[in-house]
Amino acid sequence: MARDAKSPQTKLSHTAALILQALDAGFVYGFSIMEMAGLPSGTVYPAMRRLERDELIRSHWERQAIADAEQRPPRKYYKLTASGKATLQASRRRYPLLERLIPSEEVRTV
Amino acid sequence: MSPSAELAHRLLHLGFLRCASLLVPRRQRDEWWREWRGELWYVGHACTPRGAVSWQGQQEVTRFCLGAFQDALWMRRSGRQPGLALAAIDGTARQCILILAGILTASYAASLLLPGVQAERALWPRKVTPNLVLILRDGSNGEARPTISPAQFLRWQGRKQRYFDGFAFYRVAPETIDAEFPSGGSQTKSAWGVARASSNLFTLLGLPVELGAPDGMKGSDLPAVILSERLWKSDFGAERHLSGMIVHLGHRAVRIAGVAPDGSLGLPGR
Repeated sequence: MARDAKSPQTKLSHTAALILQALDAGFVYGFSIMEMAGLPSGTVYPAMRRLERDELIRSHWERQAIADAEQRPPRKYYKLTASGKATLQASRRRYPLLERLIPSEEVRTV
Repeated sequence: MSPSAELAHRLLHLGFLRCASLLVPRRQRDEWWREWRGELWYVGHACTPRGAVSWQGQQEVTRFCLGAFQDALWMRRSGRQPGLALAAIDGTARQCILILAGILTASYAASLLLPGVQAERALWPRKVTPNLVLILRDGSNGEARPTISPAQFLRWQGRKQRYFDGFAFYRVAPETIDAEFPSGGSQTKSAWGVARASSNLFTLLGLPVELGAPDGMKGSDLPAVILSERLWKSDFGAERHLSGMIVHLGHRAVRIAGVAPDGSLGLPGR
Protein backbone atom coordinates (compact mmCIF):
# COMPACT_ATOMS: atom_id res chain seq x y z
CA MET A 1 0.00 0.00 0.00
CA ALA A 2 1.33 3.40 -0.92
CA ARG A 3 1.97 5.70 2.02
CA ASP A 4 0.66 9.22 2.14
CA ALA A 5 3.67 11.52 1.70
CA LYS A 6 2.34 13.81 4.44
CA SER A 7 1.62 11.10 6.96
CA PRO A 8 3.69 11.26 10.17
CA GLN A 9 4.99 7.75 9.59
CA THR A 10 7.21 8.88 6.78
CA LYS A 11 8.62 11.82 8.76
CA LEU A 12 9.31 10.18 12.09
CA SER A 13 12.97 10.26 13.05
CA HIS A 14 14.68 7.52 15.02
CA THR A 15 14.71 9.78 18.10
CA ALA A 16 10.99 10.38 17.86
CA ALA A 17 10.35 6.70 17.33
CA LEU A 18 12.49 5.92 20.37
CA ILE A 19 10.43 8.29 22.50
CA LEU A 20 7.18 6.72 21.30
CA GLN A 21 8.60 3.31 22.11
CA ALA A 22 9.61 4.48 25.60
CA LEU A 23 6.14 5.84 26.20
CA ASP A 24 4.59 2.63 25.02
CA ALA A 25 6.88 0.75 27.37
CA GLY A 26 5.50 2.77 30.28
CA PHE A 27 8.09 5.48 30.76
CA VAL A 28 5.66 8.32 30.89
CA TYR A 29 7.50 11.41 32.02
CA GLY A 30 10.42 13.39 30.59
CA PHE A 31 13.28 12.28 32.78
CA SER A 32 12.40 8.59 32.64
CA ILE A 33 12.28 8.78 28.85
CA MET A 34 15.67 10.49 28.83
CA GLU A 35 17.11 7.78 30.99
CA MET A 36 15.62 4.93 29.02
CA ALA A 37 16.31 6.30 25.56
CA GLY A 38 19.74 7.55 26.53
CA LEU A 39 18.99 10.90 24.96
CA PRO A 40 19.99 14.32 26.37
CA SER A 41 17.42 16.76 27.69
CA GLY A 42 17.97 19.18 24.83
CA THR A 43 16.81 16.48 22.45
CA VAL A 44 14.02 14.77 24.33
CA TYR A 45 11.83 17.73 25.32
CA PRO A 46 11.73 19.43 21.91
CA ALA A 47 11.05 16.06 20.31
CA MET A 48 8.17 15.50 22.71
CA ARG A 49 6.77 18.94 21.93
CA ARG A 50 6.87 18.12 18.24
CA LEU A 51 5.14 14.80 18.84
CA GLU A 52 2.52 16.58 20.92
CA ARG A 53 2.05 19.20 18.21
CA ASP A 54 1.54 16.40 15.67
CA GLU A 55 -0.98 14.82 18.08
CA LEU A 56 0.97 11.60 18.40
CA ILE A 57 1.23 12.06 22.17
CA ARG A 58 -0.78 13.95 24.77
CA SER A 59 0.36 15.41 28.07
CA HIS A 60 -1.25 16.30 31.36
CA TRP A 61 -0.02 17.61 34.69
CA GLU A 62 -0.28 15.40 37.70
CA ARG A 63 -2.62 16.70 40.38
CA GLN A 64 -0.84 18.84 42.94
CA ALA A 65 -2.42 16.95 45.83
CA ILE A 66 -0.86 13.67 44.72
CA ALA A 67 2.59 15.25 44.41
CA ASP A 68 2.19 17.02 47.77
CA ALA A 69 1.26 13.76 49.45
CA GLU A 70 4.49 12.22 48.20
CA GLN A 71 6.50 15.40 48.96
CA ARG A 72 7.74 15.94 45.44
CA PRO A 73 6.96 18.32 42.59
CA PRO A 74 4.12 17.41 40.23
CA ARG A 75 5.08 15.64 37.06
CA LYS A 76 3.96 16.15 33.53
CA TYR A 77 2.86 12.83 32.17
CA TYR A 78 2.82 11.88 28.50
CA LYS A 79 0.63 9.32 26.80
CA LEU A 80 0.40 7.88 23.30
CA THR A 81 -2.66 8.84 21.28
CA ALA A 82 -4.37 6.40 18.90
CA SER A 83 -2.55 8.08 16.05
CA GLY A 84 0.71 7.77 18.00
CA LYS A 85 0.17 4.06 18.50
CA ALA A 86 -0.42 3.59 14.77
CA THR A 87 2.67 5.59 13.98
CA LEU A 88 4.71 3.55 16.45
CA GLN A 89 3.58 0.35 14.76
CA ALA A 90 4.75 1.72 11.44
CA SER A 91 8.01 2.88 12.98
CA ARG A 92 8.69 -0.57 14.40
CA ARG A 93 8.62 -1.89 10.85
CA ARG A 94 10.98 0.85 9.78
CA TYR A 95 13.29 0.50 12.82
CA PRO A 96 13.27 -3.22 13.71
CA LEU A 97 15.65 -2.75 16.66
CA LEU A 98 13.31 -0.37 18.42
CA GLU A 99 11.65 -3.01 20.57
CA ARG A 100 14.99 -4.54 21.47
CA LEU A 101 16.35 -1.18 22.57
CA ILE A 102 13.39 -0.54 24.88
CA PRO A 103 11.47 -3.75 25.44
CA SER A 104 8.02 -3.37 26.85
CA GLU A 105 8.70 -5.95 29.55
CA GLU A 106 11.39 -3.77 31.05
CA VAL A 107 8.85 -1.47 32.58
CA ARG A 108 7.57 -4.29 34.75
CA THR A 109 10.96 -4.87 36.29
CA VAL A 110 11.67 -1.18 37.14
CA MET B 1 29.95 17.35 49.30
CA SER B 2 29.22 19.95 51.97
CA PRO B 3 25.66 21.26 52.43
CA SER B 4 26.77 24.72 51.33
CA ALA B 5 28.27 23.32 48.10
CA GLU B 6 25.06 21.37 47.52
CA LEU B 7 23.00 24.49 48.03
CA ALA B 8 25.28 26.43 45.68
CA HIS B 9 24.83 23.75 43.03
CA ARG B 10 21.09 23.80 43.46
CA LEU B 11 20.96 27.57 43.09
CA LEU B 12 23.25 27.38 40.07
CA HIS B 13 21.02 24.81 38.40
CA LEU B 14 17.88 26.80 39.10
CA GLY B 15 19.66 29.86 37.72
CA PHE B 16 20.49 27.99 34.52
CA LEU B 17 16.90 26.90 34.10
CA ARG B 18 15.59 30.38 34.83
CA CYS B 19 17.92 31.87 32.22
CA ALA B 20 16.87 29.21 29.72
CA SER B 21 13.21 29.94 30.43
CA LEU B 22 13.79 33.60 29.53
CA LEU B 23 14.70 32.46 26.03
CA VAL B 24 11.38 30.67 25.64
CA PRO B 25 8.57 32.70 24.02
CA ARG B 26 6.57 34.44 26.73
CA ARG B 27 3.31 32.49 26.30
CA GLN B 28 5.07 29.15 26.82
CA ARG B 29 7.60 30.32 29.37
CA ASP B 30 5.74 29.42 32.57
CA GLU B 31 4.87 25.96 31.27
CA TRP B 32 8.49 25.19 30.44
CA TRP B 33 9.86 26.69 33.63
CA ARG B 34 7.45 24.54 35.63
CA GLU B 35 8.34 21.37 33.74
CA TRP B 36 12.11 21.94 33.94
CA ARG B 37 11.94 22.78 37.63
CA GLY B 38 9.94 19.64 38.33
CA GLU B 39 12.26 17.52 36.23
CA LEU B 40 15.29 19.02 37.96
CA TRP B 41 14.08 17.60 41.24
CA TYR B 42 13.79 14.11 39.74
CA VAL B 43 17.09 14.35 37.90
CA GLY B 44 18.77 15.51 41.11
CA HIS B 45 17.33 12.64 43.11
CA ALA B 46 18.26 10.09 40.48
CA CYS B 47 21.80 11.33 39.93
CA THR B 48 22.74 12.30 43.49
CA PRO B 49 21.07 10.08 46.04
CA ARG B 50 20.33 11.79 49.33
CA GLY B 51 23.33 11.93 51.64
CA ALA B 52 25.71 10.77 48.93
CA VAL B 53 28.74 12.76 47.81
CA SER B 54 28.75 12.87 44.04
CA TRP B 55 30.44 15.43 41.86
CA GLN B 56 29.67 13.23 38.91
CA GLY B 57 26.00 13.36 39.80
CA GLN B 58 26.12 17.15 39.94
CA GLN B 59 27.72 17.16 36.51
CA GLU B 60 24.83 15.08 35.20
CA VAL B 61 22.35 17.56 36.65
CA THR B 62 24.30 20.45 35.13
CA ARG B 63 24.21 18.68 31.79
CA PHE B 64 20.44 18.39 32.10
CA CYS B 65 20.21 22.12 32.85
CA LEU B 66 22.37 23.04 29.88
CA GLY B 67 20.11 20.92 27.71
CA ALA B 68 17.31 23.30 28.70
CA PHE B 69 19.01 25.98 26.61
CA GLN B 70 18.72 23.74 23.57
CA ASP B 71 15.05 23.24 24.39
CA ALA B 72 14.58 26.99 24.68
CA LEU B 73 16.34 27.75 21.42
CA TRP B 74 14.26 25.13 19.67
CA MET B 75 11.14 26.75 21.10
CA ARG B 76 12.22 30.14 19.84
CA ARG B 77 12.81 28.80 16.35
CA SER B 78 9.61 26.82 16.18
CA GLY B 79 7.69 29.68 17.80
CA ARG B 80 8.51 31.95 14.88
CA GLN B 81 7.49 29.57 12.14
CA PRO B 82 3.77 29.36 12.98
CA GLY B 83 3.62 33.16 13.11
CA LEU B 84 4.99 33.47 9.61
CA ALA B 85 2.77 30.72 8.33
CA LEU B 86 -0.23 32.39 9.92
CA ALA B 87 0.58 35.66 8.22
CA ALA B 88 1.07 33.95 4.88
CA ILE B 89 -2.07 31.87 5.02
CA ASP B 90 -4.56 33.75 7.14
CA GLY B 91 -3.40 37.34 6.50
CA THR B 92 -6.10 39.66 5.29
CA ALA B 93 -5.58 42.42 2.76
CA ARG B 94 -5.58 44.91 5.63
CA GLN B 95 -2.84 43.03 7.41
CA CYS B 96 -0.77 42.93 4.23
CA ILE B 97 -1.17 46.67 3.75
CA LEU B 98 -0.20 47.31 7.36
CA ILE B 99 2.88 45.10 7.02
CA LEU B 100 3.86 46.83 3.78
CA ALA B 101 3.30 50.24 5.36
CA GLY B 102 5.50 49.20 8.27
CA ILE B 103 8.24 48.03 5.92
CA LEU B 104 8.04 51.27 3.93
CA THR B 105 8.17 53.37 7.10
CA ALA B 106 11.15 51.41 8.40
CA SER B 107 12.89 51.75 5.02
CA TYR B 108 12.27 55.49 5.00
CA ALA B 109 13.59 55.84 8.54
CA ALA B 110 16.65 53.76 7.62
CA SER B 111 17.28 55.90 4.53
CA LEU B 112 17.35 59.02 6.71
CA LEU B 113 20.23 57.51 8.64
CA LEU B 114 22.38 57.15 5.52
CA PRO B 115 25.36 59.51 5.41
CA GLY B 116 24.64 62.83 3.73
CA VAL B 117 20.89 62.43 3.45
CA GLN B 118 20.09 64.88 6.25
CA ALA B 119 22.51 67.43 4.81
CA GLU B 120 20.90 67.07 1.39
CA ARG B 121 17.44 67.50 2.86
CA ALA B 122 18.48 70.62 4.75
CA LEU B 123 20.21 72.10 1.72
CA TRP B 124 17.16 73.21 -0.17
CA PRO B 125 13.88 74.80 0.85
CA ARG B 126 10.75 72.76 0.39
CA LYS B 127 9.59 74.75 -2.64
CA VAL B 128 12.56 74.79 -4.93
CA THR B 129 12.54 77.19 -7.83
CA PRO B 130 12.72 75.19 -11.07
CA ASN B 131 16.08 75.12 -12.87
CA LEU B 132 17.92 76.41 -9.82
CA VAL B 133 21.57 75.41 -9.47
CA LEU B 134 23.70 75.71 -6.36
CA ILE B 135 27.33 76.13 -7.30
CA LEU B 136 29.89 75.00 -4.72
CA ARG B 137 33.52 74.21 -5.11
CA ASP B 138 34.15 70.47 -5.19
CA GLY B 139 34.70 69.15 -1.67
CA SER B 140 32.81 71.94 0.08
CA ASN B 141 30.89 70.77 3.10
CA GLY B 142 28.80 73.83 3.84
CA GLU B 143 31.25 75.46 6.22
CA ALA B 144 31.72 79.23 6.42
CA ARG B 145 34.74 79.14 4.12
CA PRO B 146 33.88 80.72 0.70
CA THR B 147 33.95 78.24 -2.10
CA ILE B 148 33.62 80.58 -5.11
CA SER B 149 35.84 83.64 -5.10
CA PRO B 150 34.25 87.11 -5.58
CA ALA B 151 36.38 87.57 -8.72
CA GLN B 152 34.98 84.39 -10.22
CA PHE B 153 31.46 85.46 -9.34
CA LEU B 154 31.94 88.85 -10.97
CA ARG B 155 33.45 87.19 -14.02
CA TRP B 156 30.39 84.99 -14.47
CA GLN B 157 28.06 87.91 -13.88
CA GLY B 158 29.83 90.11 -16.41
CA ARG B 159 29.90 87.59 -19.22
CA LYS B 160 27.91 88.53 -22.29
CA GLN B 161 27.29 84.93 -23.17
CA ARG B 162 25.02 83.86 -20.30
CA TYR B 163 24.25 80.34 -19.31
CA PHE B 164 22.07 81.47 -16.42
CA ASP B 165 19.20 83.93 -16.10
CA GLY B 166 20.52 85.24 -12.83
CA PHE B 167 23.30 84.92 -10.26
CA ALA B 168 23.19 85.40 -6.53
CA PHE B 169 25.86 84.75 -3.98
CA TYR B 170 25.71 83.76 -0.36
CA ARG B 171 28.50 83.54 2.19
CA VAL B 172 28.40 82.78 5.89
CA ALA B 173 30.77 84.92 8.00
CA PRO B 174 33.19 82.71 9.92
CA GLU B 175 32.62 84.48 13.25
CA THR B 176 29.81 86.29 15.01
CA ILE B 177 29.52 90.07 14.73
CA ASP B 178 28.49 92.45 17.52
CA ALA B 179 25.18 94.07 16.76
CA GLU B 180 23.72 97.14 18.44
CA PHE B 181 20.07 97.99 18.01
CA PRO B 182 17.25 99.86 19.76
CA SER B 183 15.08 97.62 21.86
CA GLY B 184 12.71 98.52 24.69
CA GLY B 185 13.68 102.20 24.59
CA SER B 186 17.42 101.62 24.91
CA GLN B 187 20.32 100.38 22.81
CA THR B 188 20.93 96.66 23.14
CA LYS B 189 24.00 94.68 22.15
CA SER B 190 24.10 91.11 20.93
CA ALA B 191 26.38 88.79 18.93
CA TRP B 192 24.88 87.75 15.62
CA GLY B 193 25.87 85.10 13.13
CA VAL B 194 25.83 86.82 9.78
CA ALA B 195 25.74 85.69 6.17
CA ARG B 196 26.39 88.08 3.32
CA ALA B 197 24.34 87.75 0.18
CA SER B 198 23.59 89.62 -2.99
CA SER B 199 20.39 91.66 -2.88
CA ASN B 200 18.69 89.39 -5.41
CA LEU B 201 19.20 86.16 -3.40
CA PHE B 202 15.71 85.95 -1.97
CA THR B 203 14.04 86.94 -5.21
CA LEU B 204 16.11 84.46 -7.20
CA LEU B 205 15.36 81.64 -4.81
CA GLY B 206 11.73 82.62 -4.49
CA LEU B 207 12.01 82.72 -0.72
CA PRO B 208 9.43 84.46 1.44
CA VAL B 209 10.35 87.53 3.47
CA GLU B 210 7.91 88.58 6.17
CA LEU B 211 7.38 92.08 7.58
CA GLY B 212 9.06 93.65 4.59
CA ALA B 213 9.79 92.87 0.97
CA PRO B 214 12.89 91.95 -0.98
CA ASP B 215 12.31 95.01 -3.14
CA GLY B 216 12.53 97.13 -0.01
CA MET B 217 16.24 96.45 0.01
CA LYS B 218 16.58 98.83 -2.91
CA GLY B 219 16.28 102.58 -2.72
CA SER B 220 18.53 103.07 0.28
CA ASP B 221 22.24 103.64 0.66
CA LEU B 222 22.40 101.37 3.67
CA PRO B 223 22.87 97.63 3.24
CA ALA B 224 19.71 95.67 4.00
CA VAL B 225 19.61 92.91 6.60
CA ILE B 226 17.06 90.15 6.79
CA LEU B 227 16.66 88.61 10.23
CA SER B 228 16.05 84.98 10.91
CA GLU B 229 12.77 84.27 12.66
CA ARG B 230 14.61 82.94 15.71
CA LEU B 231 16.70 86.12 16.05
CA TRP B 232 13.64 88.29 15.47
CA LYS B 233 11.89 86.59 18.38
CA SER B 234 14.86 86.42 20.75
CA ASP B 235 16.37 89.90 20.23
CA PHE B 236 13.39 91.95 19.08
CA GLY B 237 10.61 90.25 21.01
CA ALA B 238 8.79 89.49 17.74
CA GLU B 239 8.26 93.23 17.18
CA ARG B 240 6.23 93.62 13.99
CA HIS B 241 7.16 97.22 13.16
CA LEU B 242 10.89 96.96 12.65
CA SER B 243 11.15 97.16 8.87
CA GLY B 244 13.49 100.05 8.11
CA MET B 245 15.03 100.07 11.60
CA ILE B 246 18.72 101.02 11.62
CA VAL B 247 21.03 98.53 13.29
CA HIS B 248 24.80 98.70 13.79
CA LEU B 249 26.57 95.53 12.73
CA GLY B 250 30.16 95.87 13.84
CA HIS B 251 31.10 99.32 12.54
CA ARG B 252 28.46 99.42 9.80
CA ALA B 253 24.95 100.72 9.89
CA VAL B 254 22.43 98.45 8.17
CA ARG B 255 18.69 98.60 7.69
CA ILE B 256 16.29 95.78 8.59
CA ALA B 257 14.42 94.73 5.47
CA GLY B 258 12.36 91.82 6.82
CA VAL B 259 12.29 88.46 8.54
CA ALA B 260 12.93 85.10 6.89
CA PRO B 261 10.73 82.33 8.35
CA ASP B 262 12.70 79.55 10.05
CA GLY B 263 13.58 76.70 7.71
CA SER B 264 12.85 78.72 4.56
CA LEU B 265 16.42 79.45 3.53
CA GLY B 266 17.84 75.94 3.42
CA LEU B 267 21.31 77.02 2.28
CA PRO B 268 24.58 75.67 3.67
CA GLY B 269 25.79 77.18 6.94
CA ARG B 270 23.83 78.33 9.96
